[in-house]
Amino acid sequence: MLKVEGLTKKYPKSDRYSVKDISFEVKAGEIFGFLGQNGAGKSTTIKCLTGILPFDSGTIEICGHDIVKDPIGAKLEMGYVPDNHSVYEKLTGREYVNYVADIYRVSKEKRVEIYNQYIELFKLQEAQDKQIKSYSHGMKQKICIISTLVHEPKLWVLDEPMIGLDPQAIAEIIALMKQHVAKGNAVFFSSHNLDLVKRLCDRCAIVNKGEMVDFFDLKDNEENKKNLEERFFKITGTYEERLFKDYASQELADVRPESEEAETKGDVEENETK
Amino acid sequence: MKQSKISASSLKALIKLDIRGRFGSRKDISSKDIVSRIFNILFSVVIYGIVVFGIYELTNIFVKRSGLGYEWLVMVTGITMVLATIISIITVMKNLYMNGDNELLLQFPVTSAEILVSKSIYCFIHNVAICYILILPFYVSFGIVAGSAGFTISKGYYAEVLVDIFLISLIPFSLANILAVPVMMVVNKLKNKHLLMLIILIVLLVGAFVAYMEVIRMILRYFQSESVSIFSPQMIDNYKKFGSIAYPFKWYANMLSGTILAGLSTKDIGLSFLYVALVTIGLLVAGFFVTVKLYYKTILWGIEGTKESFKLKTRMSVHSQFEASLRREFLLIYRSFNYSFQYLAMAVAAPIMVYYCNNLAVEFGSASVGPKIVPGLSLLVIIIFSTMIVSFAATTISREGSEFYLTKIIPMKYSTQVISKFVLYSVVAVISVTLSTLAIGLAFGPNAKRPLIGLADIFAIWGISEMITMALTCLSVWADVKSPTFNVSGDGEMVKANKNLAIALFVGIIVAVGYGVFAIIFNYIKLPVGDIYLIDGINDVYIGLTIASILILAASVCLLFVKLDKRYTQIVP
Repeated sequence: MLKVEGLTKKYPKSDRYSVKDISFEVKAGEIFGFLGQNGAGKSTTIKCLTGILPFDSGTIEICGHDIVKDPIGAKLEMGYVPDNHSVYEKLTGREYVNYVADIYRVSKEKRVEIYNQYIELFKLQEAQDKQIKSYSHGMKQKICIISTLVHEPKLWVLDEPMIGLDPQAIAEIIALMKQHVAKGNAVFFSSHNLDLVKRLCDRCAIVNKGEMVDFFDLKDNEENKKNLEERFFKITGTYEERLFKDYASQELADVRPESEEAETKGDVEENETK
Repeated sequence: MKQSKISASSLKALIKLDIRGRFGSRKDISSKDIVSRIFNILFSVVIYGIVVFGIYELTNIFVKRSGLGYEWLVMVTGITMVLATIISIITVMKNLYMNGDNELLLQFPVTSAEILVSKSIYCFIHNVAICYILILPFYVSFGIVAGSAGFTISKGYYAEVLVDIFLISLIPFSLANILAVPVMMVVNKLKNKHLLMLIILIVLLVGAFVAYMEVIRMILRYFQSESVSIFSPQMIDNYKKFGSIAYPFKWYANMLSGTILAGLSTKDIGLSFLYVALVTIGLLVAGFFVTVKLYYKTILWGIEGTKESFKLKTRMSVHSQFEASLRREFLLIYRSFNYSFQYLAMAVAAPIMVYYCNNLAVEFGSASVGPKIVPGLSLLVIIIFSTMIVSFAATTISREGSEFYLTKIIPMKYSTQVISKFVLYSVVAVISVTLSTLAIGLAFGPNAKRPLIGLADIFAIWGISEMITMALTCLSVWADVKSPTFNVSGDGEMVKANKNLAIALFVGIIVAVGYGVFAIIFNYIKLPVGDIYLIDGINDVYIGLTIASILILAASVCLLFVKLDKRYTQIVP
């Protein structure tokens, strides 16, 4: 689905590489997490593979289409949700999605079907005919997501997709990602949320200072899942035992399994009865 | 948060922040910026010098030649006060109510009173400076001219001028503070009614332009014949009548020249000062209360208003990529107050403006040098106005702002996207130029009351203007592809016009003047090369300009479209 080989990018006035010799592959049916600190090169990589930024060397193939040699073919297979979810705010939600559907040459029947399905899912029926400028942060993100799915892309690229979203919307997007890969497509997303990556991704990669420093399976690999945070902190050179323990215990509290919660609840009730 | 508390340190910090935001940090200025600033200042000084010279000449006409010194003072005081009030209202609206930083500033530990005072200080200084820039040349010219005409003008007069202008400046500032709130209400009410807004803008634009042209026409007619028009005995009576009843403007004129021209007693002048003081204090107090009472509410309303939207149910209809791109570009312009004014209102108003402008130029040009001037003048005027329309295309990439990335990720060739933009801008300009030529044809063509040009002239003017219009569109888009500046405000509109707009205007005006002057000169004289005449008559001029236009158009098309995809790829948002 996505094949990146030796990707190297240096900004014109910079003295260091933003991305250096990065290679990875995302296969059909998998969710791929892309991790790294701020400024590690995640967004630059995503901008290169979506065609926003030109790059110095390497190749990027999307469903067999080279982004440089056949950009139209590559872009037709891809949907991209940016981190700032910028969209044409003077258009209404419906106008915007219809515009994107026109650009991706989606048939009328298909676009109406997909549009109605997602508008209902994200509960945007009331807002759909108002200008996007009147939408809240989360609503803009939702309309942006709908526009990226209207042409049913094989590769769905999301840059920090959960920022600023309500829990309901996060749950919907997670479900959408899972549905997307279940159809034989692929999802590539960057995130700072290690817990989400652990729970959702089949594989992930960690970039640091523009270089790919780790690459591993998460699906059916409990050891890697368990060690993800420590691995991330150590690889990115930010490991500090005190901080890591705080982070890990906080995360454990957030993701405490239901059974454990029930146990605790039971203990409390028992104590109260006593 | 206490809304009325004002602390000196907060005020100082806010003013400092405002100055930094407005003029940038002094440390960041590059040598290129310094050169550009010096050039801008020199250019402004030259333009101001020309205007001051014009004011001096007008003062001469009214004071020395027509003996209407007092009436002249009353009139210029009135006109400049109205102008200063309009400018002040715009400044107050922009800075106090429409500025995108209000939302940010309200989050700081400062009171709304401190924000208001810090911004009002800027508005006040701006208003005082505008009043001096506008009024000083009139009053100083008056002193010089009246002195040379035998009136006693002491040095004290010029000191009095400075005080008088300061007092005048308080009126526009107070009025602006009172009127800005209702104007903001109207603007907020209308901002989602795009068609109505566009119509109002067109009417205002055309109205102001026609009024301006009529004033120029009257002045020019005076030069032709002093016995008619603006200095006819009837008009002089009207001026005198106006001078006697034009309150409050005449109070300022009384204070300034009461003893010199109007023969007023010290008591009358003192009374004028008293009236001025009372009106000024009254307006200042009213302005103060209106602003203090409504400022916080209005900015909150404005912040909430930015989220207001119309509701428009559309169908999910299918369009081609090209059509969708064209439609999107148009809607983004149409639904923006600023862009509608800059582009659509201008394109619609241009034919009417061309008609008036050309009519005036031809009336006086043909009277002084003959009717052969008409084709050249028409070309000059049409190309200048088409330049004003198509120069908007020089911001077409920059206006994408934070949505520019969308143009990069969509499966549509960059060149096709640029062509869709080019088509929109050139089609609108081509229609506007066609209507402009039609207006000229109706005014001076074979079927006009005073036919000065033939059908062939009309076709030639139209063809040449259209080719240049398309070439200028290409050049404008090319300039923005080469160097876009994604400088947008919170609502996604450009903060200010970028340098590409200035470049496009400059090139267009050069071409317009070049074509106009060439056509005028060689319609009168022949161009010999050896034994033959290379240019002999207007038809040869047309042939020459047509060839030049084809070459310019071809070069512009090549400049824009050759390796366009490669250049577009290099644009980094």
